[in-house]
Amino acid sequence: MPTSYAELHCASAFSFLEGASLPEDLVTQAARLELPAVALVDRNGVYGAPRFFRAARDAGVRPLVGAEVVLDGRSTLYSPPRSEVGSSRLDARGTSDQGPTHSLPGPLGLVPNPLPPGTPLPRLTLLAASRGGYHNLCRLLTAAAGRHPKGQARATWAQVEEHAAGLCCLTGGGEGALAIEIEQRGLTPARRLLERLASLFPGRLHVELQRHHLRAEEHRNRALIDLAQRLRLPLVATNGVRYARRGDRELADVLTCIREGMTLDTAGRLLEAQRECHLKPAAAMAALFPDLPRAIGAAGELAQRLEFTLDDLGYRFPDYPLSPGETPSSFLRTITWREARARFRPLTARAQAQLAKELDLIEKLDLAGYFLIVWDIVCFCRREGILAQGRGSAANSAVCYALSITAVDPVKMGLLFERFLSEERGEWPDIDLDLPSGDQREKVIQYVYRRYGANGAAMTANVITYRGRSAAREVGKAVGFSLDQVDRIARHFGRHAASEFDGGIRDMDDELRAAGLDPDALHSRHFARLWWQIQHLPRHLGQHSGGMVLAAGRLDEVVPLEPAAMEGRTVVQWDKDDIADLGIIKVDLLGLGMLAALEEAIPLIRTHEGIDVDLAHLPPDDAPTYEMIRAADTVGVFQIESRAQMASLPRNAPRCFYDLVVQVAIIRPGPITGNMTNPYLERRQGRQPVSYPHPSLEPILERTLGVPLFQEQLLRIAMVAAGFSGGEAEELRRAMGFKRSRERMRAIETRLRRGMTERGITGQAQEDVVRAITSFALYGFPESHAASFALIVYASAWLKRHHPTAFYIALLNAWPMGFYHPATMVKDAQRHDVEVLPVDVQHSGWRCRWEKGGVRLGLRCVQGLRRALGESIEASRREGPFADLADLERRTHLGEEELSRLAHVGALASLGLTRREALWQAAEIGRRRGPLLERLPAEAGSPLPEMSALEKTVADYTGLHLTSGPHLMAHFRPALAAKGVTATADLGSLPDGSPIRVAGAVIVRQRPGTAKGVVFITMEDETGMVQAIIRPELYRRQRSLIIGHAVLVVHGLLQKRNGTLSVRARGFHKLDVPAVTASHDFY
Amino acid sequence: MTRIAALFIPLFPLAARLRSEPELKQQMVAVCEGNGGGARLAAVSRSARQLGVRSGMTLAQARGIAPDLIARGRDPSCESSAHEALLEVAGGLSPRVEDAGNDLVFADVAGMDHIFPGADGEAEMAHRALQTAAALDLPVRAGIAGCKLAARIAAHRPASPSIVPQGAEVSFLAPLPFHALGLEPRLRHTLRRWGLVTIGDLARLPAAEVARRLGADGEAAHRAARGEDPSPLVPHHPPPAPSEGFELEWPVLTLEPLLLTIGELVERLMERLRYQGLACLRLEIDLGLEPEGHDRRVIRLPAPTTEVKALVGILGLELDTRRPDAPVVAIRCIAHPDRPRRAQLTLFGPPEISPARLATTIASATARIGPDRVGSPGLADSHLPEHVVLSDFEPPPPPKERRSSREGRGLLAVRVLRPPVPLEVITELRREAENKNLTVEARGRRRPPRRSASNLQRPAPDSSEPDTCCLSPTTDCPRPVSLRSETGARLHIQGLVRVAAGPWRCEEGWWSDHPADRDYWDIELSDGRLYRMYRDRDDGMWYADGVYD
Repeated sequence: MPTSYAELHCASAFSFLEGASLPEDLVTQAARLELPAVALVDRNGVYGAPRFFRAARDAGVRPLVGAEVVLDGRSTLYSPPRSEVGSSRLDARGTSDQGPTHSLPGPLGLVPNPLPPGTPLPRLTLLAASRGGYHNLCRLLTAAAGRHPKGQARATWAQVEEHAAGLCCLTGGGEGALAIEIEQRGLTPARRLLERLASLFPGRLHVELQRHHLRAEEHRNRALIDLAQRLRLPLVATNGVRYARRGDRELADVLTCIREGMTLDTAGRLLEAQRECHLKPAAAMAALFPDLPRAIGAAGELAQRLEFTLDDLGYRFPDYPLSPGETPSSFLRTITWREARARFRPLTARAQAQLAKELDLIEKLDLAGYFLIVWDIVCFCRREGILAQGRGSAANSAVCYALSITAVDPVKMGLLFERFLSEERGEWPDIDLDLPSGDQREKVIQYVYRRYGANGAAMTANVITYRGRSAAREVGKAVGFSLDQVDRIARHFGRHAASEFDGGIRDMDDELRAAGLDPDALHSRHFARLWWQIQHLPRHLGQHSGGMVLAAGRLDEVVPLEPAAMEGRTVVQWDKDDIADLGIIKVDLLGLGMLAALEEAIPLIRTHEGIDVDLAHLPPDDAPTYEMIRAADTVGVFQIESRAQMASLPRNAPRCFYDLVVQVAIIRPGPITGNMTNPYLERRQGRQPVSYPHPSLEPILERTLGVPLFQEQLLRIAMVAAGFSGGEAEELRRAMGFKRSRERMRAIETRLRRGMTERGITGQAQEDVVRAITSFALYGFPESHAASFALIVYASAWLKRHHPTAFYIALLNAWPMGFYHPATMVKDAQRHDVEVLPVDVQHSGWRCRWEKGGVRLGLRCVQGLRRALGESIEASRREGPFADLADLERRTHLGEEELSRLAHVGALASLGLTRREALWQAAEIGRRRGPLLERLPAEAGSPLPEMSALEKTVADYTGLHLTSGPHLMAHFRPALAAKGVTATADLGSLPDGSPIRVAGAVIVRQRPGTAKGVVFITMEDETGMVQAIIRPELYRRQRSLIIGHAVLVVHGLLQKRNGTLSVRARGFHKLDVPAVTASHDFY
Repeated sequence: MTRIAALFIPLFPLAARLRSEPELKQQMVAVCEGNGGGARLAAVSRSARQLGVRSGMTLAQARGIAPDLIARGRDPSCESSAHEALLEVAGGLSPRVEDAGNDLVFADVAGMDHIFPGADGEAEMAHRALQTAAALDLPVRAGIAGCKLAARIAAHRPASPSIVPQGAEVSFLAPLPFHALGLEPRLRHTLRRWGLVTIGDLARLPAAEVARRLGADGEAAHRAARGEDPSPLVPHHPPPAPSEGFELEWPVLTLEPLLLTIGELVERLMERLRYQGLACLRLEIDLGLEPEGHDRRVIRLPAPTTEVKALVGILGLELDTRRPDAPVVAIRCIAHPDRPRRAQLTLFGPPEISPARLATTIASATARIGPDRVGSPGLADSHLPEHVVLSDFEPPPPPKERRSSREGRGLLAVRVLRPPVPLEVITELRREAENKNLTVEARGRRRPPRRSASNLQRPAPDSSEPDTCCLSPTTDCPRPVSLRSETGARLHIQGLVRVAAGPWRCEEGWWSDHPADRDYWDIELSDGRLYRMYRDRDDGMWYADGVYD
């Protein structure tokens, strides 16, 4: 009996559809079975290694790192004689269609059953023996991923040879290169392969044996034992683990079905014949190999030889280039004090003290280099004229403010620096930069790649997991449900999170019944169990929206890199939480449409109004701006333009910057589900007295009227009310910001309650605090982050109030962004007396532009017109105006279709043509071929009927998705008025509770998860917008009408509350008008 | 004078489906194309349309509007049947029929006024066709006009039948929306931009100007708008299915005279087919029974044949197996023809099997033992060795040359025991097994000799390096030591186990009503025989399910 056995071949769900257990589950089971060490070897990656490492460290299991590297089937390690080479062909799945040509005799001399169809590509199991070996493994995986489609990484033998140092090699199980060589080519080539492997991995090659009670496997084992003895190579036993427990085999089968696009009934031998690929204790493994105890012992011995774990990554943050004699810290101090004088106006004693304190701590924690790197990026942005603003907790730092990384003065705001950086935390601070979305952001990302090299920087990954709908769809298909049934269960199960079933909120049988399935039927029972099991298993790897990882030297030695779908980008195999856990530096470069808009607006104001706007020093507390905000006149304003925000603005009635900070934070799922929004707004209006859950919390909650709204407040409450230590508060902070936080929060809640009870905070007060804290796990803002956003809110609102023309031009050019469609923004502009001029080939550029104090719509608004053609019109016009349509066609080479599009939306009006005349001419001119006809003038006149006013509006909505002319509803106003339909602008004069009828184009449909089934729609007519509130039963009754028609008439009662107008809907009917407007729907 | 009748089935996929499932007629039904999230509605019933469900929606969107919507996939077979039935209805109007798609057929009805005279003659003819269609469960609409285009558009109108008087095509078309012309989307889009609404709007534009702007497609559309449709009717030639039959003067009670009569009919039929260079692929025989009723038999042949003797022989077997329930008073034989297949002669090898003879043989076998018992057995894609599938017998091509033996592959045939033979087995615990040293020598052979029970290496108790094959000799999968079949079993198996290899685990179908969880063993008994046996892990019973020959 061996003294110890370690499992050296263990794949997790991060082998994507080849493993059925999360790394944490494998660790839990390994600890239960008292395995001293386990090696995680996922296919082509170390995706799950950080999670595995973290869990194993906590459980006392040694986490070994490795990977199953898939080999390129066309590459050979040696040149076999011609006669030995099989004509192996590869199909699209990367499998060979060639069956075995040689079967080995097994026990009793019998031949095993035929192999299942589609032999997989060969693999090598590589384990990192040292840090150097790990670096080689990462580089090998990076090289294998290069140039191959996603998920189809393949290493050539040459790449394996190049990166073999420091790695131990196991020959693998049935999918191993050696096993496939035996099956496909026979024993002699297999022996040659083994000899070559032995020379590549001298003293580090083990012949791997697995026993899963399979006849074919045992036949192969006989051959492997024989080969190992002949070449004097050590044998090692593993169990080729694919799942943690025996009972996980069912899920493994389902994953196989998903991978192969089969059902359980049709998958046949693609499914395993046994359920033995689970973690087994040493005794069970010894019982499996009574004839080869040395193979068991070898596993334990090899595990001890493998020194490397992830706590020894060798990661180093890049150095900032400094002059001789300068240290990062001294340089940071120099530039901070230099810049501080310009940023802090004035540089008060309090600010100086704060800066000194922060600089001391930064030096103590040796973080100066990090600040310099971020500063370097911000400097690049400044040089290139790109707006950049730090968000998140960085806004708590005076140093960040001094270096222009953030735009909020934390000293003036009284923000908590410890939320950003503290000695206790022991991790890198998090600095996120908001950049203008689009090309400007990409420019910054490419700068980072250039600066740190293609192998020194990469984007972070985003692990997409199976959730309600995707899980229901995939499992349903695998179980064999029909198309109908799969659609139904996806709809029913997709609506709810798995935790709702776990928490007893919903009964799974009810949902199955609602989906038309018998919950007691065998397949339904399997579905329910497997749907539950597959939750949170990784489905695929995406790219994080903006996180970049940087490293000194080669990042591809720290973590494997994979090419991203976007040209010129690479992605690491770990997500942002894993990266943070391993102490790797990440900078988030996030795209913000509003920054792009602000960036565009400032030069417009400078050019056309002669005013130089400095966003960093806008007039504070501008009364007209706050007046506009209080009136909820905020279409287009950053963050506070949504329906819910607009509804709360009159109640919150912002009058100063801090009110905006609160406003940004208050309409969030966290405060709403934590029942914090309404109490705050009530107290704000003086309708509810300000009170505190406990007197000890008054200093913390004073600024927010006794209601916790920010993460910082929650942390301090936990420390004061429940006695959390700094470390525990830090854990709470991370749980709040962590996407897998629900489970963490449960554990924290217990400690929270215990602490509060000990301090005498019980009953309702305790419940309030717990609810506030746990609901923040869903989503809540830190104060500093809200402050950063509030700056942009104020800037955009100020621009709208004082420079509306530039504001709307910038918004239209930055679209898509924000909450509303350009059609709504154009109408909002007109309501603010901004003239909107139509698209015209004689005047319009590609983008919208300033003209005569108004907005000239750009050619980009013309649907289906390519940018190159739009720009060619703009360029050609520089030579002089177009004489006629033929001249336009000759100079721009627009085709018939493009000319017709322009004609249809009236963009050829300045050529002296009506829309239909232009269409008639465009059809003829666009078809001319050759120089003989091109100078022929177009024939005047047209037999086509001219467009009516309504037709013009409809053509605008069809061809531009907006109109600068009358609103669609204006054409129907007389008829509507005759039917007693009130215009939106007239609602204000009616008393609350009046029965009314309002008609409008639906521009937003929303069914917030926090509104208990209530649906809100925003309708727009030519005079303004109004919101209709629809009760769930009315929605159920008229659902198809409400979601299926673009223009509706609602009748109901007028609700005037807190300065907002809305209609409590009693019923809808459709208006028979052309359905040409589009809405933004959020369900 | 040209007169064309158009017969059209609206929402054809749905109509075809409802013929097969008439119980759905009162339900909200949609027929979909595609799978999963990509499934889109091809046709929607009226009740679903009233709720806002439309063709082209995804199924998910439709379910969002109508949660109780019943969805069915498109079924080519029932659509093909409906299409054939539509052609037959048109064939009832005229011998000149054009197949214009699944849902549309044209019939040349010129000169029918002598059958349906008077001003309402055409309407009466159309009504007759609609009645026939209704009897076939086809919701057909009919239109008659002077050209195919006008007839088609007339047939699309809800009021059916729609008769366009001779020469009134232009005025008929003028007020209709131009999309009725069935134009290409791009052309339709252009006309819409031009502000045109009706076919008349288009017809009023100058033809030459339209042609300059819209090219050949536009010119054709303009001509169509003016009621000009130069495309001729393209006749459809249904494959002939000749039939022969007659009514008997007196009922036939016995098989022999019946077969004699049938033989004559078949002889004439085959003669007609041979004359056309065809052969019979499917033979139908319809027996009129006394006092009423029919007995219809269909003989499907694996290959076309005209061998009367064989066909009559098969019919004889069929009728002998299942005799008619009543005396036969009428006989009708219908031959469904196909091109005959030829056997290829080879110069050196054996000739291919004659398709006709093969057909006769298979048909004979089918007639005797049933269609579900004739075919080629094949291995099912399953871990369980007893799973087999049956497919249509396709004779393999004759071997071109002698196949070389495959090196290193010692094949042993397994004779599968169906059903498995229950065994009484004595097993040992592991420790005892180790003491007994039951081993097999199966290592170190580079080229194993061709195996059979006689030359299989016997286990050598004094073998220098024995290896046990017992992988998991624990109590949950005990190793067999001796066994015997139950008393009265159809196969007598008894003896001491000299060698046992296993257990080979096989667990399959955990999701089904009949899961299997077994431990297989390959064993050699003291008498030298090799067996495959297994232990059912659910009930612990042992079975022998194969003998290695």
